[in-house]
Amino acid sequence: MNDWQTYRLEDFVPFTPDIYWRLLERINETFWPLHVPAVAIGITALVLALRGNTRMALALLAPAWLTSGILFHWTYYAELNWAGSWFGWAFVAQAALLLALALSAGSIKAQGPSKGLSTWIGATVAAVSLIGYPLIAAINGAGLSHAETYGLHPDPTAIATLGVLLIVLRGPTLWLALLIPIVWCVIGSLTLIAMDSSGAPMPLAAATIIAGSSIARSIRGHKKMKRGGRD
Amino acid sequence: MDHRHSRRTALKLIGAGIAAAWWMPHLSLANSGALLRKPIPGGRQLPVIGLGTWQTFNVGRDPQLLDARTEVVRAFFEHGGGLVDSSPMYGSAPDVMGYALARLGTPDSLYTAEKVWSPAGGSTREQIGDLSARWGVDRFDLVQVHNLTDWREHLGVLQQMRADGEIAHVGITTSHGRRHDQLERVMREHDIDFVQLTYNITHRQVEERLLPLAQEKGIAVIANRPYDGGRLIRNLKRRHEVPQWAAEEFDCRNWADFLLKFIVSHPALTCAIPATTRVEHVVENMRAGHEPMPTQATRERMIRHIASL
Repeated sequence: MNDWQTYRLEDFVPFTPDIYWRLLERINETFWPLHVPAVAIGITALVLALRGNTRMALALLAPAWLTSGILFHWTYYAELNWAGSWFGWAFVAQAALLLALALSAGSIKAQGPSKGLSTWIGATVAAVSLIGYPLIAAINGAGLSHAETYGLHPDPTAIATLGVLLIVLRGPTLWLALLIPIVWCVIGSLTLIAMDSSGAPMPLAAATIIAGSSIARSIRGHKKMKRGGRD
Repeated sequence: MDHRHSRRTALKLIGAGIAAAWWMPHLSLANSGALLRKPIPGGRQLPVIGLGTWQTFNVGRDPQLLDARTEVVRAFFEHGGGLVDSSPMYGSAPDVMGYALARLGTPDSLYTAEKVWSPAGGSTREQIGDLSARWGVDRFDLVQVHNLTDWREHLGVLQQMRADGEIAHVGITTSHGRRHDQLERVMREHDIDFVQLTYNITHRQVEERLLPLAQEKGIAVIANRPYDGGRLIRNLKRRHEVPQWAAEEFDCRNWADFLLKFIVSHPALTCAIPATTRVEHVVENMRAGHEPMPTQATRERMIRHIASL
Protein backbone atom coordinates (compact mmCIF):
# COMPACT_ATOMS: atom_id res chain seq x y z
CA MET A 1 0.00 0.00 0.00
CA ASN A 2 1.22 3.50 -0.84
CA ASP A 3 2.25 5.29 2.39
CA TRP A 4 0.16 8.34 1.55
CA GLN A 5 -3.00 6.24 1.38
CA THR A 6 -2.54 5.35 5.05
CA TYR A 7 -2.66 8.97 6.25
CA ARG A 8 -5.84 10.49 7.61
CA LEU A 9 -6.56 14.18 7.98
CA GLU A 10 -6.24 13.95 11.78
CA ASP A 11 -2.65 12.70 11.39
CA PHE A 12 -1.69 16.25 10.37
CA VAL A 13 -3.29 17.94 13.38
CA PRO A 14 -0.94 17.45 16.35
CA PHE A 15 -3.41 18.27 19.14
CA THR A 16 -6.81 17.16 20.40
CA PRO A 17 -9.95 19.31 19.94
CA ASP A 18 -10.11 20.22 23.65
CA ILE A 19 -6.59 21.69 23.42
CA TYR A 20 -7.63 23.83 20.44
CA TRP A 21 -10.83 25.08 22.13
CA ARG A 22 -8.81 25.91 25.22
CA LEU A 23 -6.40 27.90 23.02
CA LEU A 24 -9.31 29.99 21.75
CA GLU A 25 -10.46 30.48 25.32
CA ARG A 26 -7.00 31.62 26.46
CA ILE A 27 -6.78 34.17 23.66
CA ASN A 28 -10.21 35.52 24.53
CA GLU A 29 -9.36 35.72 28.24
CA THR A 30 -6.07 37.47 27.54
CA PHE A 31 -7.16 40.01 24.95
CA TRP A 32 -10.72 40.91 25.94
CA PRO A 33 -11.97 43.66 25.28
CA LEU A 34 -9.73 44.11 22.24
CA HIS A 35 -12.46 42.24 20.34
CA VAL A 36 -14.74 45.27 20.36
CA PRO A 37 -12.44 47.74 18.56
CA ALA A 38 -11.25 44.93 16.26
CA VAL A 39 -14.79 44.20 15.05
CA ALA A 40 -15.57 47.93 14.90
CA ILE A 41 -12.59 48.47 12.59
CA GLY A 42 -13.75 45.55 10.44
CA ILE A 43 -17.28 46.98 10.16
CA THR A 44 -15.79 50.37 9.25
CA ALA A 45 -13.73 48.73 6.51
CA LEU A 46 -16.88 47.11 5.13
CA VAL A 47 -18.86 50.37 5.20
CA LEU A 48 -16.01 52.25 3.49
CA ALA A 49 -15.80 49.53 0.86
CA LEU A 50 -19.52 49.89 0.13
CA ARG A 51 -19.04 53.65 -0.18
CA GLY A 52 -16.27 53.15 -2.70
CA ASN A 53 -13.36 54.22 -0.47
CA THR A 54 -11.04 51.43 -1.61
CA ARG A 55 -7.87 52.92 -0.15
CA MET A 56 -9.19 53.20 3.43
CA ALA A 57 -11.06 49.89 3.28
CA LEU A 58 -7.88 48.04 2.33
CA ALA A 59 -5.81 49.95 4.89
CA LEU A 60 -8.25 49.04 7.66
CA LEU A 61 -8.10 45.32 6.81
CA ALA A 62 -4.32 45.20 7.29
CA PRO A 63 -4.17 45.49 11.13
CA ALA A 64 -6.46 42.46 11.54
CA TRP A 65 -3.99 40.30 9.57
CA LEU A 66 -1.10 41.66 11.57
CA THR A 67 -2.75 40.96 14.94
CA SER A 68 -3.98 37.50 13.87
CA GLY A 69 -0.51 36.66 12.62
CA ILE A 70 1.33 37.91 15.68
CA LEU A 71 -1.13 37.12 18.47
CA PHE A 72 -2.84 34.00 17.23
CA HIS A 73 -0.22 32.25 15.11
CA TRP A 74 3.12 33.29 16.52
CA THR A 75 2.19 33.70 20.18
CA TYR A 76 -0.23 30.79 20.65
CA TYR A 77 -0.77 28.46 17.72
CA ALA A 78 2.96 27.95 17.07
CA GLU A 79 3.17 26.39 20.57
CA LEU A 80 1.00 23.54 19.31
CA ASN A 81 1.88 23.32 15.63
CA TRP A 82 5.30 24.01 14.10
CA ALA A 83 3.49 25.26 10.99
CA GLY A 84 2.05 28.09 13.12
CA SER A 85 5.14 30.23 12.63
CA TRP A 86 4.83 29.84 8.84
CA PHE A 87 1.16 30.73 8.99
CA GLY A 88 2.15 33.79 11.03
CA TRP A 89 4.52 34.90 8.26
CA ALA A 90 1.76 34.42 5.67
CA PHE A 91 -0.59 36.61 7.71
CA VAL A 92 2.03 39.34 8.11
CA ALA A 93 2.69 39.15 4.35
CA GLN A 94 -1.05 39.59 3.68
CA ALA A 95 -1.09 42.64 5.96
CA ALA A 96 1.82 44.11 3.99
CA LEU A 97 0.09 43.33 0.70
CA LEU A 98 -3.14 45.02 1.81
CA LEU A 99 -1.20 48.12 2.89
CA ALA A 100 0.71 48.18 -0.40
CA LEU A 101 -2.57 47.90 -2.31
CA ALA A 102 -4.06 50.68 -0.18
CA LEU A 103 -1.14 52.95 -1.01
CA SER A 104 -1.47 52.24 -4.70
CA ALA A 105 -5.28 52.30 -4.70
CA GLY A 106 -5.39 55.07 -7.27
CA SER A 107 -3.71 52.89 -9.87
CA ILE A 108 -5.40 49.55 -9.18
CA LYS A 109 -8.59 48.29 -10.74
CA ALA A 110 -11.09 49.21 -8.05
CA GLN A 111 -14.85 48.98 -8.10
CA GLY A 112 -17.05 51.92 -7.22
CA PRO A 113 -20.08 51.74 -4.93
CA SER A 114 -21.77 49.28 -7.31
CA LYS A 115 -25.04 47.62 -6.38
CA GLY A 116 -24.13 44.52 -8.40
CA LEU A 117 -24.70 40.98 -7.20
CA SER A 118 -21.05 40.40 -6.31
CA THR A 119 -21.08 43.48 -4.07
CA TRP A 120 -24.07 42.13 -2.18
CA ILE A 121 -22.43 38.72 -1.89
CA GLY A 122 -19.20 40.28 -0.61
CA ALA A 123 -21.07 42.46 1.89
CA THR A 124 -23.12 39.52 3.17
CA VAL A 125 -20.08 37.25 3.61
CA ALA A 126 -18.14 40.01 5.40
CA ALA A 127 -21.07 40.98 7.63
CA VAL A 128 -21.78 37.38 8.63
CA SER A 129 -18.12 36.89 9.49
CA LEU A 130 -17.84 40.14 11.48
CA ILE A 131 -21.07 39.84 13.44
CA GLY A 132 -22.25 36.24 13.12
CA TYR A 133 -18.99 34.30 13.48
CA PRO A 134 -18.48 35.01 17.19
CA LEU A 135 -21.98 33.68 17.85
CA ILE A 136 -21.30 30.25 16.36
CA ALA A 137 -19.58 29.09 19.54
CA ALA A 138 -22.60 30.18 21.59
CA ILE A 139 -25.04 28.48 19.20
CA ASN A 140 -23.20 25.13 19.17
CA GLY A 141 -23.06 25.11 22.95
CA ALA A 142 -19.36 25.81 23.46
CA GLY A 143 -20.05 29.22 25.02
CA LEU A 144 -18.82 32.69 24.14
CA SER A 145 -15.46 31.98 25.77
CA HIS A 146 -14.69 29.91 22.65
CA ALA A 147 -15.93 32.61 20.26
CA GLU A 148 -13.76 33.46 17.26
CA THR A 149 -13.57 37.14 16.39
CA TYR A 150 -12.36 39.19 13.43
CA GLY A 151 -8.91 40.64 14.09
CA LEU A 152 -7.90 38.08 16.71
CA HIS A 153 -8.72 34.74 15.16
CA PRO A 154 -7.72 33.80 11.64
CA ASP A 155 -10.94 32.25 10.27
CA PRO A 156 -13.27 35.27 10.68
CA THR A 157 -10.41 37.56 9.67
CA ALA A 158 -9.89 35.69 6.42
CA ILE A 159 -13.61 35.38 5.65
CA ALA A 160 -14.42 39.06 6.28
CA THR A 161 -11.40 40.05 4.18
CA LEU A 162 -12.63 37.90 1.28
CA GLY A 163 -15.97 39.72 1.36
CA VAL A 164 -14.45 43.22 1.40
CA LEU A 165 -11.95 42.36 -1.33
CA LEU A 166 -14.73 41.15 -3.61
CA ILE A 167 -16.38 44.56 -3.22
CA VAL A 168 -13.35 46.78 -3.82
CA LEU A 169 -11.03 44.94 -6.20
CA ARG A 170 -11.14 43.54 -9.73
CA GLY A 171 -9.04 41.42 -12.07
CA PRO A 172 -5.55 40.09 -11.27
CA THR A 173 -5.22 42.43 -8.28
CA LEU A 174 -8.28 40.81 -6.72
CA TRP A 175 -6.88 37.30 -7.22
CA LEU A 176 -3.52 38.33 -5.80
CA ALA A 177 -5.20 39.68 -2.67
CA LEU A 178 -7.52 36.64 -2.39
CA LEU A 179 -4.75 34.05 -2.53
CA ILE A 180 -3.64 33.91 1.12
CA PRO A 181 -7.17 34.28 2.60
CA ILE A 182 -8.46 31.47 0.36
CA VAL A 183 -5.54 29.18 1.21
CA TRP A 184 -6.09 29.90 4.90
CA CYS A 185 -9.82 29.13 4.61
CA VAL A 186 -8.95 25.73 3.13
CA ILE A 187 -6.44 25.04 5.94
CA GLY A 188 -8.91 26.32 8.57
CA SER A 189 -11.71 24.07 7.34
CA LEU A 190 -9.46 21.00 7.07
CA THR A 191 -8.24 21.55 10.63
CA LEU A 192 -11.82 21.80 11.90
CA ILE A 193 -12.89 18.75 9.87
CA ALA A 194 -10.05 16.76 11.46
CA MET A 195 -11.39 17.82 14.86
CA ASP A 196 -14.96 16.88 13.91
CA SER A 197 -16.16 20.45 14.51
CA SER A 198 -19.64 21.44 13.35
CA GLY A 199 -18.28 24.79 12.08
CA ALA A 200 -15.81 23.08 9.75
CA PRO A 201 -17.51 23.88 6.42
CA MET A 202 -17.77 27.64 7.01
CA PRO A 203 -14.33 28.91 5.92
CA LEU A 204 -14.30 26.63 2.88
CA ALA A 205 -17.87 27.63 1.96
CA ALA A 206 -16.97 31.33 2.21
CA ALA A 207 -13.87 30.85 0.06
CA THR A 208 -15.89 28.92 -2.53
CA ILE A 209 -18.61 31.58 -2.65
CA ILE A 210 -16.11 34.43 -3.06
CA ALA A 211 -13.97 32.60 -5.62
CA GLY A 212 -17.10 31.58 -7.55
CA SER A 213 -18.46 35.13 -7.51
CA SER A 214 -15.13 36.52 -8.69
CA ILE A 215 -15.00 34.06 -11.58
CA ALA A 216 -18.64 34.72 -12.53
CA ARG A 217 -18.04 38.48 -12.49
CA SER A 218 -14.92 38.11 -14.65
CA ILE A 219 -16.87 36.03 -17.19
CA ARG A 220 -19.71 38.57 -17.24
CA GLY A 221 -17.21 41.40 -17.68
CA HIS A 222 -15.47 39.54 -20.50
CA LYS A 223 -18.76 38.93 -22.33
CA LYS A 224 -19.77 42.57 -21.91
CA MET A 225 -16.45 43.70 -23.37
CA LYS A 226 -16.94 41.38 -26.37
CA ARG A 227 -20.44 42.71 -26.95
CA GLY A 228 -19.10 46.26 -26.63
CA GLY A 229 -16.46 45.44 -29.28
CA ARG A 230 -19.11 44.27 -31.78
CA ASP A 231 -21.42 47.25 -31.25
CA MET B 1 -20.31 -12.01 69.74
CA ASP B 2 -23.62 -11.01 68.13
CA HIS B 3 -23.46 -12.89 64.83
CA ARG B 4 -26.45 -11.02 63.37
CA HIS B 5 -24.68 -7.78 64.15
CA SER B 6 -21.37 -8.95 62.71
CA ARG B 7 -23.11 -10.23 59.55
CA ARG B 8 -24.85 -6.86 59.14
CA THR B 9 -21.50 -5.14 59.64
CA ALA B 10 -19.89 -7.41 57.09
CA LEU B 11 -22.68 -6.71 54.57
CA LYS B 12 -22.27 -2.99 55.18
CA LEU B 13 -18.54 -3.28 54.59
CA ILE B 14 -19.09 -5.23 51.38
CA GLY B 15 -21.64 -2.63 50.25
CA ALA B 16 -19.25 0.19 51.08
CA GLY B 17 -16.50 -1.62 49.18
CA ILE B 18 -18.67 -2.00 46.09
CA ALA B 19 -19.70 1.66 46.31
CA ALA B 20 -16.10 2.75 46.73
CA ALA B 21 -15.01 0.64 43.78
CA TRP B 22 -17.82 2.18 41.72
CA TRP B 23 -16.95 5.76 42.61
CA MET B 24 -13.17 5.35 42.84
CA PRO B 25 -12.24 2.98 40.04
CA HIS B 26 -8.60 2.73 41.13
CA LEU B 27 -9.74 0.90 44.26
CA SER B 28 -11.23 -1.81 42.12
CA LEU B 29 -7.70 -2.67 40.94
CA ALA B 30 -7.20 -4.38 44.26
CA ASN B 31 -9.78 -6.96 43.19
CA SER B 32 -8.04 -7.75 39.89
CA GLY B 33 -5.03 -9.94 39.36
CA ALA B 34 -1.53 -8.50 39.33
CA LEU B 35 -0.44 -5.89 36.79
CA LEU B 36 1.19 -7.91 34.06
CA ARG B 37 4.86 -7.16 33.32
CA LYS B 38 6.96 -8.46 30.49
CA PRO B 39 10.73 -8.71 30.15
CA ILE B 40 12.77 -6.42 27.92
CA PRO B 41 16.39 -6.87 26.80
CA GLY B 42 18.66 -6.54 29.81
CA GLY B 43 16.25 -8.27 32.14
CA ARG B 44 14.06 -5.41 33.33
CA GLN B 45 10.31 -6.03 33.46
CA LEU B 46 7.93 -3.45 31.99
CA PRO B 47 4.23 -3.05 32.88
CA VAL B 48 2.26 -3.96 29.75
CA ILE B 49 0.36 -0.66 29.71
CA GLY B 50 2.34 2.49 28.96
CA LEU B 51 1.38 6.06 28.19
CA GLY B 52 1.42 7.67 24.74
CA THR B 53 1.59 11.45 24.34
CA TRP B 54 0.77 12.07 20.64
CA GLN B 55 -1.75 14.95 20.39
CA THR B 56 -2.87 14.63 24.01
CA PHE B 57 0.21 16.15 25.68
CA ASN B 58 0.80 18.92 23.16
CA VAL B 59 -0.78 21.67 25.29
CA GLY B 60 1.81 24.41 24.87
CA ARG B 61 2.18 26.72 27.88
CA ASP B 62 -1.45 26.57 28.98
CA PRO B 63 -1.20 26.41 32.82
CA GLN B 64 -4.62 24.78 33.19
CA LEU B 65 -3.86 21.98 30.75
CA LEU B 66 -0.30 21.55 32.05
CA ASP B 67 -1.77 20.81 35.48
CA ALA B 68 -4.43 18.54 33.98
CA ARG B 69 -1.80 16.47 32.14
CA THR B 70 0.29 16.32 35.33
CA GLU B 71 -2.70 14.65 36.99
CA VAL B 72 -2.84 12.14 34.14
CA VAL B 73 0.83 11.30 34.71
CA ARG B 74 0.27 11.12 38.46
CA ALA B 75 -2.59 8.63 38.00
CA PHE B 76 -0.46 6.63 35.58
CA PHE B 77 2.34 6.27 38.13
CA GLU B 78 -0.04 5.66 41.03
CA HIS B 79 -1.44 2.69 39.14
CA GLY B 80 1.94 1.19 38.45
CA GLY B 81 2.65 2.73 35.03
CA GLY B 82 6.16 2.60 33.60
CA LEU B 83 6.79 3.44 29.96
CA VAL B 84 6.00 6.97 28.72
CA ASP B 85 6.56 7.51 25.00
CA SER B 86 7.06 10.85 23.29
CA SER B 87 8.70 12.40 20.25
CA PRO B 88 10.12 15.71 19.05
CA MET B 89 7.33 15.53 16.46
CA TYR B 90 4.70 15.81 19.20
CA GLY B 91 5.03 19.57 19.62
CA SER B 92 5.28 20.57 23.29
CA ALA B 93 4.70 17.02 24.64
CA PRO B 94 8.33 16.59 25.86
CA ASP B 95 8.08 19.94 27.70
CA VAL B 96 4.81 18.85 29.26
CA MET B 97 6.43 15.65 30.49
CA GLY B 98 9.21 17.82 31.95
CA TYR B 99 6.59 19.95 33.71
CA ALA B 100 4.85 16.89 35.14
CA LEU B 101 8.06 15.19 36.29
CA ALA B 102 9.29 18.40 37.94
CA ARG B 103 6.14 18.36 40.07
CA LEU B 104 5.77 14.63 40.64
CA GLY B 105 9.39 13.54 40.77
CA THR B 106 10.68 10.58 38.77
CA PRO B 107 9.45 7.30 40.24
CA ASP B 108 11.60 4.18 39.90
CA SER B 109 8.93 2.66 37.66
CA LEU B 110 9.39 5.39 35.00
CA TYR B 111 10.79 4.10 31.72
CA THR B 112 11.45 7.02 29.38
CA ALA B 113 11.03 6.42 25.64
CA GLU B 114 11.88 9.17 23.15
CA LYS B 115 12.58 9.43 19.45
CA VAL B 116 14.87 11.10 16.97
CA TRP B 117 13.65 12.22 13.56
CA SER B 118 14.78 13.77 10.32
CA PRO B 119 16.78 15.51 9.20
CA ALA B 120 19.53 13.57 10.91
CA GLY B 121 22.49 15.44 9.45
CA GLY B 122 24.70 14.64 12.44
CA SER B 123 22.04 15.90 14.87
CA THR B 124 21.22 12.66 16.72
CA ARG B 125 23.10 13.52 19.92
CA GLU B 126 21.95 17.13 19.75
CA GLN B 127 18.30 16.04 19.42
CA ILE B 128 18.63 13.70 22.39
CA GLY B 129 20.38 16.37 24.49
CA ASP B 130 17.63 18.87 23.69
CA LEU B 131 14.90 16.34 24.54
CA SER B 132 16.48 15.26 27.84
CA ALA B 133 16.65 18.94 28.87
CA ARG B 134 12.96 19.31 27.98
CA TRP B 135 12.02 16.21 30.01
CA GLY B 136 14.40 17.20 32.80
CA VAL B 137 16.01 13.75 32.88
CA ASP B 138 19.70 12.80 32.77
CA ARG B 139 19.22 10.13 30.15
CA PHE B 140 16.55 8.22 28.30
CA ASP B 141 15.94 4.53 28.75
CA LEU B 142 14.94 4.06 25.14
CA VAL B 143 15.60 6.19 22.07
CA GLN B 144 13.84 5.17 18.86
CA VAL B 145 14.25 6.25 15.25
CA HIS B 146 10.92 7.90 14.44
CA ASN B 147 9.13 6.33 11.47
CA LEU B 148 12.39 5.00 10.03
CA THR B 149 13.50 8.51 9.03
CA ASP B 150 17.24 8.68 8.28
CA TRP B 151 17.43 5.42 10.17
CA ARG B 152 20.92 4.32 9.04
CA GLU B 153 22.62 7.42 10.41
CA HIS B 154 20.50 7.60 13.58
CA LEU B 155 20.84 3.91 14.35
CA GLY B 156 24.63 3.98 14.15
CA VAL B 157 24.82 6.84 16.65
CA LEU B 158 22.21 5.30 18.97
CA GLN B 159 24.04 1.97 19.04
CA GLN B 160 27.25 3.80 19.96
CA MET B 161 25.41 5.71 22.71
CA ARG B 162 24.04 2.44 24.04
CA ALA B 163 27.53 0.93 24.06
CA ASP B 164 28.77 3.98 25.97
CA GLY B 165 25.95 3.66 28.50
CA GLU B 166 24.33 6.99 27.51
CA ILE B 167 21.04 5.27 26.75
CA ALA B 168 19.79 1.85 27.78
CA HIS B 169 17.98 0.68 24.66
CA VAL B 170 17.69 1.38 20.94
CA GLY B 171 14.54 1.09 18.88
CA ILE B 172 12.85 1.94 15.63
CA THR B 173 9.23 2.88 14.96
CA THR B 174 6.55 2.88 12.34
CA SER B 175 2.79 3.33 12.48
CA HIS B 176 -0.36 2.86 10.41
CA GLY B 177 1.19 -0.25 8.79
CA ARG B 178 3.76 1.78 6.85
CA ARG B 179 7.07 0.45 5.49
CA HIS B 180 6.81 -3.00 7.07
CA ASP B 181 9.21 -4.55 4.57
CA GLN B 182 11.90 -2.08 5.48
CA LEU B 183 11.18 -2.50 9.18
CA GLU B 184 11.54 -6.25 8.82
CA ARG B 185 14.95 -5.82 7.14
CA VAL B 186 16.12 -3.58 9.99
CA MET B 187 14.90 -6.11 12.55
CA ARG B 188 16.73 -8.93 10.77
CA GLU B 189 19.97 -7.14 10.02
CA HIS B 190 20.53 -4.71 12.89
CA ASP B 191 21.01 -4.96 16.62
CA ILE B 192 17.94 -3.24 18.07
CA ASP B 193 16.16 -3.77 21.39
CA PHE B 194 12.71 -2.39 20.62
CA VAL B 195 10.37 -2.00 17.72
CA GLN B 196 7.24 0.17 17.84
CA LEU B 197 4.42 -0.48 15.42
CA THR B 198 0.66 -0.24 15.06
CA TYR B 199 -1.17 -3.23 16.45
CA ASN B 200 -4.79 -3.45 17.52
CA ILE B 201 -7.72 -5.78 17.02
CA THR B 202 -8.58 -4.19 13.65
CA HIS B 203 -4.98 -3.80 12.41
CA ARG B 204 -3.27 -7.16 12.75
CA GLN B 205 -0.98 -7.32 9.69
CA VAL B 206 2.07 -7.47 11.99
CA GLU B 207 0.94 -10.86 13.32
CA GLU B 208 2.10 -12.47 10.07
CA ARG B 209 5.82 -11.66 10.02
CA LEU B 210 6.89 -8.85 12.34
CA LEU B 211 5.64 -10.18 15.68
CA PRO B 212 7.02 -13.71 15.15
CA LEU B 213 10.32 -12.16 14.05
CA ALA B 214 10.44 -9.97 17.17
CA GLN B 215 9.88 -13.06 19.32
CA GLU B 216 12.57 -14.97 17.48
CA LYS B 217 15.10 -12.13 17.83
CA GLY B 218 14.17 -11.19 21.40
CA ILE B 219 13.09 -7.69 20.38
CA ALA B 220 10.60 -5.97 22.68
CA VAL B 221 7.47 -4.65 20.93
CA ILE B 222 5.52 -1.46 21.70
CA ALA B 223 2.03 -1.26 20.17
CA ASN B 224 0.97 2.24 19.17
CA ARG B 225 -2.56 3.32 18.18
CA PRO B 226 -4.18 0.64 20.40
CA TYR B 227 -7.55 2.38 19.94
CA ASP B 228 -6.85 3.24 16.29
CA GLY B 229 -6.41 6.90 17.13
CA GLY B 230 -9.40 6.82 19.51
CA ARG B 231 -11.89 6.10 16.74
CA LEU B 232 -12.17 2.38 17.51
CA ILE B 233 -13.05 2.70 21.19
CA ARG B 234 -15.32 5.72 20.60
CA ASN B 235 -17.38 3.81 18.05
CA LEU B 236 -17.57 0.69 20.20
CA LYS B 237 -18.59 2.63 23.32
CA ARG B 238 -21.24 4.54 21.36
CA ARG B 239 -22.86 1.58 19.67
CA HIS B 240 -22.16 -1.69 21.47
CA GLU B 241 -22.09 -3.40 24.83
CA VAL B 242 -19.11 -5.47 25.89
CA PRO B 243 -20.11 -9.14 25.41
CA GLN B 244 -20.97 -11.05 28.54
CA TRP B 245 -18.69 -13.96 27.65
CA ALA B 246 -15.70 -11.59 27.78
CA ALA B 247 -16.46 -10.76 31.40
CA GLU B 248 -16.70 -14.45 32.22
CA GLU B 249 -13.57 -15.50 30.35
CA PHE B 250 -11.09 -12.76 31.29
CA ASP B 251 -12.79 -10.36 33.69
CA CYS B 252 -13.47 -7.83 30.91
CA ARG B 253 -15.55 -4.94 32.23
CA ASN B 254 -15.36 -2.37 29.44
CA TRP B 255 -14.07 -1.78 25.92
CA ALA B 256 -10.69 -0.54 27.20
CA ASP B 257 -10.24 -3.95 28.84
CA PHE B 258 -11.35 -5.72 25.69
CA LEU B 259 -9.08 -3.83 23.30
CA LEU B 260 -5.97 -3.52 25.47
CA LYS B 261 -6.05 -7.04 26.86
CA PHE B 262 -6.30 -8.31 23.30
CA ILE B 263 -3.08 -6.47 22.41
CA VAL B 264 -0.94 -7.22 25.43
CA SER B 265 -1.98 -10.86 25.59
CA HIS B 266 -0.14 -11.49 22.32
CA PRO B 267 3.02 -13.33 23.39
CA ALA B 268 5.29 -11.08 21.29
CA LEU B 269 3.85 -7.82 22.63
CA THR B 270 5.62 -6.03 25.44
CA CYS B 271 3.58 -2.89 25.98
CA ALA B 272 0.65 -0.90 24.55
CA ILE B 273 0.74 2.89 24.75
CA PRO B 274 -2.76 4.39 24.79
CA ALA B 275 -2.81 8.20 24.94
CA THR B 276 -5.43 10.10 26.86
CA THR B 277 -6.23 13.49 28.34
CA ARG B 278 -8.34 12.12 31.19
CA VAL B 279 -7.45 10.63 34.55
CA GLU B 280 -10.41 8.21 34.53
CA HIS B 281 -9.24 6.83 31.19
CA VAL B 282 -5.71 6.27 32.53
CA VAL B 283 -7.20 4.32 35.42
CA GLU B 284 -9.31 2.31 32.98
CA ASN B 285 -6.29 1.66 30.75
CA MET B 286 -4.09 0.58 33.66
CA ARG B 287 -6.74 -1.80 34.89
CA ALA B 288 -6.64 -3.52 31.51
CA GLY B 289 -3.05 -4.50 32.22
CA HIS B 290 -4.12 -6.68 35.13
CA GLU B 291 -4.55 -10.40 34.85
CA PRO B 292 -6.43 -12.49 33.84
CA MET B 293 -5.66 -12.20 30.14
CA PRO B 294 -7.54 -13.88 27.29
CA THR B 295 -6.28 -17.24 26.07
CA GLN B 296 -5.41 -17.82 22.41
CA ALA B 297 -8.85 -19.36 21.82
CA THR B 298 -10.50 -16.37 23.45
CA ARG B 299 -8.40 -13.96 21.37
CA GLU B 300 -9.71 -15.62 18.22
CA ARG B 301 -13.25 -15.28 19.53
CA MET B 302 -12.59 -11.59 20.22
CA ILE B 303 -11.45 -11.07 16.61
CA ARG B 304 -14.58 -12.78 15.29
CA HIS B 305 -16.76 -10.72 17.61
CA ILE B 306 -15.32 -7.37 16.49
CA ALA B 307 -15.52 -8.43 12.83
CA SER B 308 -19.20 -9.26 13.33
CA LEU B 309 -20.14 -5.81 14.66
